[in-house]
Amino acid sequence: MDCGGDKNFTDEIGLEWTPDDKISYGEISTISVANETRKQYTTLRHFPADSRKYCYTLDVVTRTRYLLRATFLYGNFDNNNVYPKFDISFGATHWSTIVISDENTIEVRELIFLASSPTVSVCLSNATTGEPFISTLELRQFNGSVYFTFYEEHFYLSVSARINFGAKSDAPVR
Amino acid sequence: MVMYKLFLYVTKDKIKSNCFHISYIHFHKLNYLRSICFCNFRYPDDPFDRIWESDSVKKANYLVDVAAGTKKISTNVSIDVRGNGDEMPPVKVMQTAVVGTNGSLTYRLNLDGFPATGWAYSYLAEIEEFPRNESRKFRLVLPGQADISKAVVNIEENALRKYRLYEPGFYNLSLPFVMSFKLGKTADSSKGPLLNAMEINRYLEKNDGSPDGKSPPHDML
Repeated sequence: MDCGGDKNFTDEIGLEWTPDDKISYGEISTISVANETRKQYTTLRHFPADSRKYCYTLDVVTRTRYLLRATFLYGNFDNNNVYPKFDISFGATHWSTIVISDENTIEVRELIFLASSPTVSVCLSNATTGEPFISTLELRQFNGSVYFTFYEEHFYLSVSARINFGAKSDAPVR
Repeated sequence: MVMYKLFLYVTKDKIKSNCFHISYIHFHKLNYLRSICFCNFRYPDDPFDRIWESDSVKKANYLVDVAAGTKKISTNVSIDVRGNGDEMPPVKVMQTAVVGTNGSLTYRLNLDGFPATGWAYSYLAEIEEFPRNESRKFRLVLPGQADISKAVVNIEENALRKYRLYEPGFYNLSLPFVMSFKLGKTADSSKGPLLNAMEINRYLEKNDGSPDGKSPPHDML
């Protein structure tokens, strides 16, 4: 999902992006960041810095494992130059605190979960500085027993490091 | 003798250009029409579109304190990634590795969300050719976790051959925010350690409390 986008498109690696235009809260911003031409990162949706939680709801298939990825590219969308800091939660579970420390760096969070209900929600809230915002939200389905754990009924897996050693460039493999 | 005829039709999906429908009419026993839809789209390298970060990225507290003698190696030989685990790392990720030519590999990095209990696995495949009288055996060393160092890894032996994945790790491990680790060769190993990839995930306990605004009003209870 391309947050703040205005139409469906397919990117250069063949991923299909859809806009989040069903969301009735928040405002859209377009940013321009040096060396970032990928359309999905040039728009974002930001929400008021109040005491509410602003949520996206995603349809999933129960008893299936998924990878959920949220990205945040600040790009000084608010012309404020105060780096935002806010919380992201997965349903009622606090997932991570997003701390922006650079205007041009994409912050990425990934979560692996076993779906136990037909919808899941991703929420932004609790901005201590700036406004909560989001650039993209992606959902990928795993198959078989990939990332099976004994604790999956009660715990999600929040990705901290996934590293390709001996890499031939700075670019990630995906 | 059973006789049957099968008619196949392939049509392109009207919305998703990379998807096809195969319809077939099967005249065995019953006249019978079925349709299968498949999409030929694949993510570039990872079957599940996971992001594997490069070890060359320079940023604060990311893969520092690298041991002298650390060298990057790579192969064009395809890697069998259906090893003992299920995670299927991309072949491209497994075709590159670092080796500790002075006998050890060391790294330090900050782990977002830790200290916590985590899931930590390494993805290993022997991608270097060496004579039979040579060997590569090493141990993982984590500060304060002596038990972990008891196990000796011999990738080729554990994976049963070269160019095949072996996925050793821990599904229940306490890790600090600042993690230092070392792979050190055993005294009887002629080669230094090798590491293709690793993944560390934090267990995040589900909060099953109702999301905000979803709890039923009191007068409904």
